[in-house]
Amino acid sequence: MPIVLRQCKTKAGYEALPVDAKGKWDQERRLNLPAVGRSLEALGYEVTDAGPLLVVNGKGLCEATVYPTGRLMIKSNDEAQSRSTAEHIYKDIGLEG
Amino acid sequence: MRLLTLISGGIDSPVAAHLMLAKGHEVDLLHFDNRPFTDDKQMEKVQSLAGILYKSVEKARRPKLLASPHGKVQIAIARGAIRRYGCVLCRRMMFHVASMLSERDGYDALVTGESLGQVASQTLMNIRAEENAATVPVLRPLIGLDKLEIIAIAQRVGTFDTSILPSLCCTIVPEKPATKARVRDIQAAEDGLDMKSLVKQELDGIQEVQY
Repeated sequence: MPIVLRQCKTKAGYEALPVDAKGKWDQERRLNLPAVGRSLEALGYEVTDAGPLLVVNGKGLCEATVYPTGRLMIKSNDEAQSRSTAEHIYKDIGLEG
Repeated sequence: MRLLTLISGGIDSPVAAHLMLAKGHEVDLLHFDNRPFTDDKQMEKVQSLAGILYKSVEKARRPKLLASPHGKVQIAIARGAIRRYGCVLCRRMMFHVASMLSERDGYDALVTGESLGQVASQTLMNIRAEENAATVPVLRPLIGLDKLEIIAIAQRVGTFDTSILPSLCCTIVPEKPATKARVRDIQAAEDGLDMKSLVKQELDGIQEVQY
């Protein structure tokens, strides 16, 4: 699945967006976050369910915030690590672009 | 006066703290630790800023740096209140906690780095809805300054370069935060939260941080 990755304005993290083949991000997407949290926990992630978002940690990846639209905010200023984190989380969420 | 300055890692609140230190007041610093909704760099920045502030005024008393664990409160607000009120409720919680700390430890007033209209959330209505939670006076030494004036002071004092170091913005900010919050609506939103327990939990978790 294609991922758009961009550095956040403070340059302290990366934002990842799951996009389709045309590079379009479906902003109307609404993930079932409680269910996503449970499935990520079952896969070994540490998950903090904050209601409108999840904070996901562990499995050797960078800490990331998961929003209902599928947007991720990744706590790393390393582009390669951020991309790898996004790829793993999207795969484990089962998110299709 | 004994003052408690609410300090983030940004540009404004360190300038507010410096101005009050420079007036000869006894200033301590209270940082609301927003992890996991920010990164570790925010705390590191605040520790550096505290050191710079101490040295920014000759013969100043060394400010005590306190950290208040704010992450769990953020979760309670996000889960239990109307989403767009998140930022106002977060700020109100800071005022609740800082007021109780002031009453317990003998601070005369709170100091914040707010300046009117600088960001969308710092509207007069929001400021009113937020400070309504405070039970001690709230001093805002920057209220009439614009950003360029605040930056000029930060550069002169030496806090600017640290304030602009990369650190993650708050990740739990609602998509469309309220800009015209009304006191009665916000109080009603708080009625849905276990405020007494949340404030106590946060107050009990405050710790002094070395720098």
